[in-house]
Amino acid sequence: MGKTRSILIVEDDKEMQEIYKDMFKGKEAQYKVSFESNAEEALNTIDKNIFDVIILDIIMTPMPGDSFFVHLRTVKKQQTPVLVVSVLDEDMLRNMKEINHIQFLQKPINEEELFKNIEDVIQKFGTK
Amino acid sequence: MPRKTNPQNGPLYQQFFEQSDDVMAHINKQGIILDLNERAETLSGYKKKELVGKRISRLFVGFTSKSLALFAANFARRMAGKKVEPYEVEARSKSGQRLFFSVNAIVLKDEKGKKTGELAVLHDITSRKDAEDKLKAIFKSIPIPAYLWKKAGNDFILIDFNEAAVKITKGGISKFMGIKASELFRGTTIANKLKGAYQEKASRTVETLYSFRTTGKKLWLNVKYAFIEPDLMLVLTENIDPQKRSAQELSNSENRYRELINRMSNGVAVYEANKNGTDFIFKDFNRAAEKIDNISKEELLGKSVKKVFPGVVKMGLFDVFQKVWKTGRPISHPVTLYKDQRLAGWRENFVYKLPTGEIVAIYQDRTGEKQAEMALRESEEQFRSLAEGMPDGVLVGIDGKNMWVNQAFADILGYTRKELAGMRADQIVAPESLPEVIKNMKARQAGKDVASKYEIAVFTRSGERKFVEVSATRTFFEGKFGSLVIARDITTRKQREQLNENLIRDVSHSLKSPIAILEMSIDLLNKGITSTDLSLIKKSAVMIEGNTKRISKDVDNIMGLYSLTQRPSEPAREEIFISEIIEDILKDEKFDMEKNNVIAYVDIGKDAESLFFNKKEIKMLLYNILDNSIKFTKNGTITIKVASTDNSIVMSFIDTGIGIKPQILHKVYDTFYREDAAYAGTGLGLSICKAVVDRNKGKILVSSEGRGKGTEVILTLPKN
Repeated sequence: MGKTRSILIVEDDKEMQEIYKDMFKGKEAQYKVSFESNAEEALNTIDKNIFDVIILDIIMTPMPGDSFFVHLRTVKKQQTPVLVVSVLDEDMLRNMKEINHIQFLQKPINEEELFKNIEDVIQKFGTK
Repeated sequence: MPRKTNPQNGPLYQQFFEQSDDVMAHINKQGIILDLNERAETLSGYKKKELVGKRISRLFVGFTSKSLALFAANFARRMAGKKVEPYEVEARSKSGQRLFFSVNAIVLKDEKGKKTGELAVLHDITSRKDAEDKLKAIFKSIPIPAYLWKKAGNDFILIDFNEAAVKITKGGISKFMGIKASELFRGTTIANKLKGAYQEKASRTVETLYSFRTTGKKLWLNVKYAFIEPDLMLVLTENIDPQKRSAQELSNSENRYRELINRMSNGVAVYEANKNGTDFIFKDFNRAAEKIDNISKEELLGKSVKKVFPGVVKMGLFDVFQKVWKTGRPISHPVTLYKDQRLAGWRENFVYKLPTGEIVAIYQDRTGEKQAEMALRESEEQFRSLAEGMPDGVLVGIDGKNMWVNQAFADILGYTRKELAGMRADQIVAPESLPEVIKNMKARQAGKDVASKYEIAVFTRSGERKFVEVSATRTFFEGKFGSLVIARDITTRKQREQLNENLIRDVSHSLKSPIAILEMSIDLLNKGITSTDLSLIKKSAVMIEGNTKRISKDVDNIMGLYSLTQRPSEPAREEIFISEIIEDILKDEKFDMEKNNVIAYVDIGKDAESLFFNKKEIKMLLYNILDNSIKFTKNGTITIKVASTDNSIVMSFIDTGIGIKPQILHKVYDTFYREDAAYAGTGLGLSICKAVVDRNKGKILVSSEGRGKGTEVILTLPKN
């Protein structure tokens, strides 16, 4: 620990963003959180910044989360660990699993789960 | 001059004695000459007085020792009272001339019956003997092997043979002198032939393949059996082997050839042209031909083909015969029906001319095949007429190519039947279905059973995707194995299935998201309560309220769609005031509008205030259009315009939202049902809109100038 994690949350639902903000409240020393409500804009953001982990929603318009993910890995060639947080279960996102450095978390989520998974995905796939 | 004779004899005897042509000598018991006739003097060259009182052996100085011994023996036998047959002796006259006699004798007795001597009669056979000698010389020297057999009891004994015989047997024959015919010719028919010829006292000639005992060689011999008086058989064996062998071989090869022809499964008929080719006569006919035409060879040999098979002219085969006969060139006559009063059948002929001038027809009975073919054609005709009337698409494919399709099949795909004929499976079947189609096709061609029913995707002529349920079986069509495919257009069913699938997915997704947030809001609320953070409690309460409403709306929508699709009866209509409905909806959407910072403008034109419609349905319709607009617009506006035309109310909803990419737009528009819009959660809303509009004979048009340029929905609803 000790080091601050830089996190990008790609989520188009304002309420979800609010819930995330509440979850990260009081943890500013460990986590520096940025939000993007549009996946296309998020792709621009990752060009300019380096994140330790990206938290990604799937059901988004106009660019769905899975398209963002594929784009990230194949076009941008970035291996940033991705934590998919979605109402969809893992099985429905099977094709995403084939591209590596990804972990799934199904909504609804609680704080404990969220942080455990963030640390987990960085441990597994992050650059040390 | 008178001759002095034995005084014992009378004058008659004297006369006979003196004038006889045979040599006569009166001999006493001791063999002493008592008297001689004139002939004896002439032949022997001695005077009577020189010989009387001398031994009989003196009569001819030159009696051979063998002859003398024979003479003495026979004389003794006669004196002993035994009967003696005439026998031959050889002698020489005083001058040395060779003489032969046949000897006979009369026993003389005195008054008391006591034997006193004999009267020997020697018949001159010298000239006969000379002739015999000459014959013997000929026998010995003729170049044809000759054998002389003498009858002995029931058998024959070899008594002589000539030089040629020695030569041909390489000297071996010498060893067989005196052998019995039954022994020499054991195991052959020769002894019997000897006997036969002997009994008939005639000569006969027999060709025999003879195996020589001495050399082991086999030769063809022309064997002549000739009877010679009284008990001889002359056997001449002429070597005819070279001619015979070649003749035999010829005959063998002819036999083989004949056998071959007879064994052929094809009918073979050989004809000879008659009357300068105006008729053809049967010369040969094989077994197969007899069977095919149900007639025996004997019935037709030598007869005219026109008489035996009167249908041959009409069949055209007779012309072929004439042509072949004239030109010498072979002609194939295709499968043709032959018919006369006796028989009918399909025949295939091959006609050619032999170097010797005969015409040969090789033919096969094709009746079975032809009948099968005709039956097949008939069944194909039946199939066609049956398939023509079928409501399902019918296709016959061979090697992946369409051979025949019915109109229904063409209709499914939007091609003409002409266009489809000859098209390949891969030109019609969608790529994802092609492997299955090909796999099944190959299995069928290999005679395997494959799933009789399966679903595939196809492309129509205009590029539209359709779903087809295919049931296929192996078939035999126009002489080849292929697939008989019955295709049913299940696009509508598939779309409905897809719709249902999408519906369930959309429903669950559209419910899942607000429920998830609801749950998390409750967590947040608890957190607020625990920390007595009032702002957190307020925030979560708003979220709980908004999402509960949303869930309730979604459930209404689901129920509404269900009622629309499951209860297609005429809905109850009433006068609807459009402004009221829109106001209600905007009130309900207030939460989302504020969240997305969206402002709505409403402009209702003259005569467009109201229309007759089902209240529930119009609410669902407008709610879903507006809900979509609000959902996809952030920090923008939605302009709602309502206008009236002659028969319709036209409503337009223009937002400044994210819009739709042109390439997706047409898809979204005409694929409300099945386009994968899952993640956008739009499927349900649009499905409801489409269902309501269709039900009320209205129109809905979704358009966008592109991404980020907003979306326009134009809704046309009939006034009544």
